[in-house]
Amino acid sequence: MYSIAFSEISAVGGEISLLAVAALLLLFRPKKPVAVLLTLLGICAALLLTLAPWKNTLDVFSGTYHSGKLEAYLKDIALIAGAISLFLLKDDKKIKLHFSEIVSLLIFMLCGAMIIVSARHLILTWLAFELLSVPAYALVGSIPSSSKGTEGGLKYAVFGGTASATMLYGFSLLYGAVGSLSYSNIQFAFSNSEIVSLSSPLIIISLVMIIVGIMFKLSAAPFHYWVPDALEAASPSIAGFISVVPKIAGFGLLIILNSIFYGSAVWLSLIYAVSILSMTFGNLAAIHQNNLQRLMAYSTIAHAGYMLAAASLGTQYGSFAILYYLTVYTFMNLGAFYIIGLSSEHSRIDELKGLSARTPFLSFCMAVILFSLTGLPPFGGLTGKLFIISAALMKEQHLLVGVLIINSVISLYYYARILKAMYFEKGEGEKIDISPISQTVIAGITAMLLILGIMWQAIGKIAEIAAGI
Amino acid sequence: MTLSLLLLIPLLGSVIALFVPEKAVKPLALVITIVTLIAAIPLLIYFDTSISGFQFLEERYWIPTFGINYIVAVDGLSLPLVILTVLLSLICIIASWNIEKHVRGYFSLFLLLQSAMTGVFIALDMFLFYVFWELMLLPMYFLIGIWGAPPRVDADGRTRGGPYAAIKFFIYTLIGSLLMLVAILWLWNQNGTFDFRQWTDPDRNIQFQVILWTLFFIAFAIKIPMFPFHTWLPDAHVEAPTAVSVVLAGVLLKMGTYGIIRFNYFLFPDATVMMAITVGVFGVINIIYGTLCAMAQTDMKRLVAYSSISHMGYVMLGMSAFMSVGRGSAVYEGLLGGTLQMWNHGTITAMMFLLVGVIYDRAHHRDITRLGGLAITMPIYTGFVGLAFFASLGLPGLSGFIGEALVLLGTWKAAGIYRIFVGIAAVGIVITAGYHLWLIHRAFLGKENPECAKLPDINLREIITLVPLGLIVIWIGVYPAPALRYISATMQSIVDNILQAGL
Repeated sequence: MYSIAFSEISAVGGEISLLAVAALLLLFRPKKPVAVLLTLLGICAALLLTLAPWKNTLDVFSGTYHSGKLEAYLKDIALIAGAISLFLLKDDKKIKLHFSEIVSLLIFMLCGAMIIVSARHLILTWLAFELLSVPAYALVGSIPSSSKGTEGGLKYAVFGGTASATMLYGFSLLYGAVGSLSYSNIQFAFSNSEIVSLSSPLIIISLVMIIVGIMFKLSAAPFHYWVPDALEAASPSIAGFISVVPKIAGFGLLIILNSIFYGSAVWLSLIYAVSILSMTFGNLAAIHQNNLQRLMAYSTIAHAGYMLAAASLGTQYGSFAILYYLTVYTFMNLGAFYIIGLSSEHSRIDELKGLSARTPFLSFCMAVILFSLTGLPPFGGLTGKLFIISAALMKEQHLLVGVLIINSVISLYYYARILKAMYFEKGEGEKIDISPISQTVIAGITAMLLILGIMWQAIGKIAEIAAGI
Repeated sequence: MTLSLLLLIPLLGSVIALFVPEKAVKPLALVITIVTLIAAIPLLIYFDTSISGFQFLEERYWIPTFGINYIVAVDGLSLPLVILTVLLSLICIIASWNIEKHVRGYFSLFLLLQSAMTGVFIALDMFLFYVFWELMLLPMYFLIGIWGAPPRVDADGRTRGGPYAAIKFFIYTLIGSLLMLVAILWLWNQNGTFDFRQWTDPDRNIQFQVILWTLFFIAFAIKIPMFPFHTWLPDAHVEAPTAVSVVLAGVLLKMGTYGIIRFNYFLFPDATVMMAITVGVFGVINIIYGTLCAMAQTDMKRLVAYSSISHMGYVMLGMSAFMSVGRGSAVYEGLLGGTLQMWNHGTITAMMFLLVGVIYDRAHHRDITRLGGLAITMPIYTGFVGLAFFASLGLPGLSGFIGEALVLLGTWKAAGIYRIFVGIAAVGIVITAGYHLWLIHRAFLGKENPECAKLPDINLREIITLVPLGLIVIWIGVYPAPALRYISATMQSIVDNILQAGL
């Protein structure tokens, strides 16, 4: 009989502690402060427990579950993203559902993200994918009596369902070709041209279908149609979370799959094409948005494109660039949605007019975030782009670099529209009261962007180790 | 430590300015800039003029695993520009005394701008350089956008105003700097360090050199601004507040030519030799194009802005003439004149923008056709205008003449096609004299315009901003030797370096 050893438990310690918190929340439905405290405790415990495999890699459950440095890094960013979202969610007055329920959905998503990056078996990957997606559909539709919310949620669900079905079909075709669902067997098959021919139609079709599924999660064009609607419909706290955590999971999966499929020209060139499409489309479509959440939605499409550019290289340095950019991106995006949530009722750009006069703190932090999103020093966004560009230059992908550069310039234009509203235009509105906790969190995010831009030595080193350089 | 102080004092000041009471902000900024100026004096005293290399070198670890270090130093090329930055910053703080809107933000951003500008001139690590280069954009964007002219639509239906000019300036510069970033990362990948002094490679393939040269050049050409990348400049100048125009013309434009001499010339000597004539051609185009545009302006500030384009053309022409065509022997005067012209243009244009600001504060417009006979109502003002404008048009005895004469001398020595350039540039000088004199004729001489009969003359604060610049203009015009001594050793080594390594 198969018995579970302690080491195997410790490999999933983080996931277990989160699920325990979710179970407690759903069973006892505590009041808000208790729920926040409990969730924070759970996240902190998970943060510590996921760091355990940093010293020695754990390969458990007959090789279907893997916890190493890369996994620990990705899980920890996702957990930090979860913690930041929790603070914003706490003050969100738009959501009428019981707080514990909302938070437990959030936790399930986090768990899904964590399992995706650790799974080394296609069925487990697919299950985790669903665990990540289904709560998200519910979260988007969580503002009651809003037709937009229902529409956004439904759109997300229909698209998501189709995408995961496509991916599942891709997995089954891959199983047909290789005869195994475990990553290690697939990797073995792909490295032996006698077992698997990379140019066989079966393999190509299955890879294309898997890409479609992942790109959907990464909100990359042309699989982005749900993104603006879903992120506009959701309350800013949820929108921030949805724009970040599935991306962390998706890019984690992409990095892992890259190490198996890097030999396939179809795989890499598809990512390449999607990357260029996403950057260009996301940035061009963002120019004319007047709703901040919609604008940010298109901006996330563009940023997915930047990271995909690094993914399309299939190199370890590219993986490192993704990991670093993901970290910066997490802080930038959550910060932007945090401030949008605090400073505007309907998330219109007009509402930010004159924010600098009313609440200089918020407008200053927003300016830092916007500059970072554009990729200007001394903020993290530049460092992230620096690594992506240099990874692309190493593989002599000059076209990719050119497109990225042009897109960065375009992006300045629409980020500057927000700056312009905040600083150059007069607006009416009241001073915004920010709770000390929110102030601390936002200041922390701003400081983090500065650290990621100036003193990134430590974080860069950790990301390098995680990427296996 | 001296150089780091020049960075740190204004940076510290910009933070402190956010927390002091609103009344104390202006004195604080004044004290900060005066202290910075005093801190810069040791540079002038202890600078060894016989050494061509970097002096006051400071090296500290920053992010060593990625080959990034904090390296700052000055040589004969950057020293004058650092001094110019520190001096103009002080003058601009005095010139900004009448700012009433968001005082804290304005002076804080201005001090941040000063720190970033100084950083651009002294950074030897390319990552550090890039950080300062872009950091400069952030305060500039807000200074033009918030304190510039309010947004409006002009008679031809075109958008005008601070926010428009700010974003135009920002986008133009960003395009260039991102191209430069690619080149920087390219070289970083090859060498594993951001220290540009270690990027030289005598065996570098010529095609590769030309590509990198072009990437750097476009970034700097936008800043100069070189035709056809100049269209941001008139907008930015016209919409910006006076003090911002002064640093924009006085310091920021120099970064373009500085960057080309510092990086393009040093890193890619072969490509530089190949492209020298192209630079010269663009220089000549700038001279002629700038003067002709200036001739057509009725807005005084726009006129001065276009004259800047024209004057930067002389710098480009001078620095392109480092070698005589055919014989391949070294020519030093062109580069020497170009560098001196950078300094001269910095001081003269600063004066001109300050003077335009004076009239705008009083008449609330800058339309030359609505002025007239100002010499009667504002005699002292007219005196300063005379000094600045005659220096700008190149009157012997004033600094503008020395720079231009050296440039033309060097260009003539370069022989070959450069002699044709001299001929065209000479035509440019005539037109330059034309629009300057025509402006004085229309606005200051002749019958008094009743509209501006009651304007008060220039006040003491404005005189204080103008006098130091005026003295420099006269001093360099009469006795340029001390100024040239600071730069000549470095210029010679730059030229020799190109010729040794070049084709």
